[in-house]
Amino acid sequence: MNRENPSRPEVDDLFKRLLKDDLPPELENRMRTQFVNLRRSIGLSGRRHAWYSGGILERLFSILEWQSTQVMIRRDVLATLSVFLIVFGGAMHLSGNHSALADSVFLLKMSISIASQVRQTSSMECRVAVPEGKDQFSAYEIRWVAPGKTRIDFEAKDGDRKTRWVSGAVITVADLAKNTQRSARAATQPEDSLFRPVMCCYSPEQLAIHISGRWQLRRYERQAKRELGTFLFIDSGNGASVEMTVDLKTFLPLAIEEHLPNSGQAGTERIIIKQANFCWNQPIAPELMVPGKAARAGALMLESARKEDM
Amino acid sequence: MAGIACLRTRMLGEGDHHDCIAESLLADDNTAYEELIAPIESRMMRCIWRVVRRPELSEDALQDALSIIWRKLHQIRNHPNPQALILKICLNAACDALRKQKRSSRHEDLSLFIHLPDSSSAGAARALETKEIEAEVLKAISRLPRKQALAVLMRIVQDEPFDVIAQALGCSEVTVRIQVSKGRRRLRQLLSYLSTDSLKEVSK
Repeated sequence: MNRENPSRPEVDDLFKRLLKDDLPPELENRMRTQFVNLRRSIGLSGRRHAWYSGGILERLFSILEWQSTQVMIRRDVLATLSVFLIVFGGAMHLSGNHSALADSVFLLKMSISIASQVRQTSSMECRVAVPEGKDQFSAYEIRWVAPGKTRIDFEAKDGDRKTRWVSGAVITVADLAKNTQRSARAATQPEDSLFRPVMCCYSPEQLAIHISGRWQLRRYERQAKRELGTFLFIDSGNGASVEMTVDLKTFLPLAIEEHLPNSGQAGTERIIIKQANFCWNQPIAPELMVPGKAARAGALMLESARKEDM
Repeated sequence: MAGIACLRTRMLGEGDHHDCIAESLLADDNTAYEELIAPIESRMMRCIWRVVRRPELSEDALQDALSIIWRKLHQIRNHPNPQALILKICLNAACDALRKQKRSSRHEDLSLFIHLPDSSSAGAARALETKEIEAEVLKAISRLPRKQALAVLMRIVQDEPFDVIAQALGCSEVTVRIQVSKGRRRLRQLLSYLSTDSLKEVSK
């Protein structure tokens, strides 16, 4: 074969000659039946439009041609059924019974709303009290500032104090009594059991994960006068019940109370595992968030503030 | 045509807009069929056949094209050149069929891809050569980018004017000219190994 490029007229000519209009008659007949089918489909579709748009009363008692199954259904039967369903729906609505599905969708929506508001905050202050026997408790003060620095001050029931900073992947722990401080990468440091009870309040992100994932919302009550809402969750991890009070203006949690599973049932006393109070989007002194000498100064500042509160 | 009338009404003002939508919904689809599709039924069949060249594939391609047309009937009615759009849909379906054919016959022998004429008939060798070249041309078309293939087929095979092709493809006339030119160049490259003699023979 010669290696010559066909020129432009040759290509056009070649196409016209090769791809010529020689449709076989038998194929043409078969293809025409497809057009007939299309015309029929369009006709049926047009009839449906006419029924939707007007002449409903005229056609209400005529016979409906069911397109997909070709079954004949009396239109008056359909009309009666529709009226019955509308009346039934109205009656259900007026009776005030909510469907379980609607309720669960509502509760899910609420959880997601709170979690999303929590994630958008710029700072968080949280005081957590963990009961440790009669009238005794350990206290935690958690401070978090965006984008992701956390300081946790722990005070045990016997007065021991520890402070922990979490910044990115680095964790620094200062023991104020022993005057020691050590830092390590989070991945290499074993989790200190002292701080485990407040894991859910480490940061807004952690709290949001608990609200929208680990905690399952079971009940919601609205305190209309105070514009507060009380949400009852069940912790899927340990079965504890978590009661959260939320400011309905901002959709941010104000307080959380965690109770021992099954406590408070059948007249028994509710046993509190921990209580947390939140304060959102308030300025936090930057020196408090830095480990080191400034941290010690910060701790002293906190202590004096605590004494003033008392 | 109710759809085009609706488009014009839409330009008149926002107040008429809702009436227009209602009018559009009420429009008789049967009329649309009679006005838009019925006059070009034959062209639709032929344009698919000219590209696909195989009976069963042509039927499938037409089926695909008609189902698209049925789904997009309202959109087609509002198009500035509905019939060009319908032809474009047909050619698109034909190109799809060609590509499918190319994929399925990748590992097949060329003799299976084309219909061999009866070797005992007169001029069998010439007919065979023509069929081979036809298969090569179809393969070349299936290797073009989609828009280029459509522009080339509408221009060279269907002899449509550039402005009509531009309306069908939803681009400017200049773009269509460029696409056709690029398509021709690419086809020349793809078919360059065919001998001039055999091409001339086919062209006779």
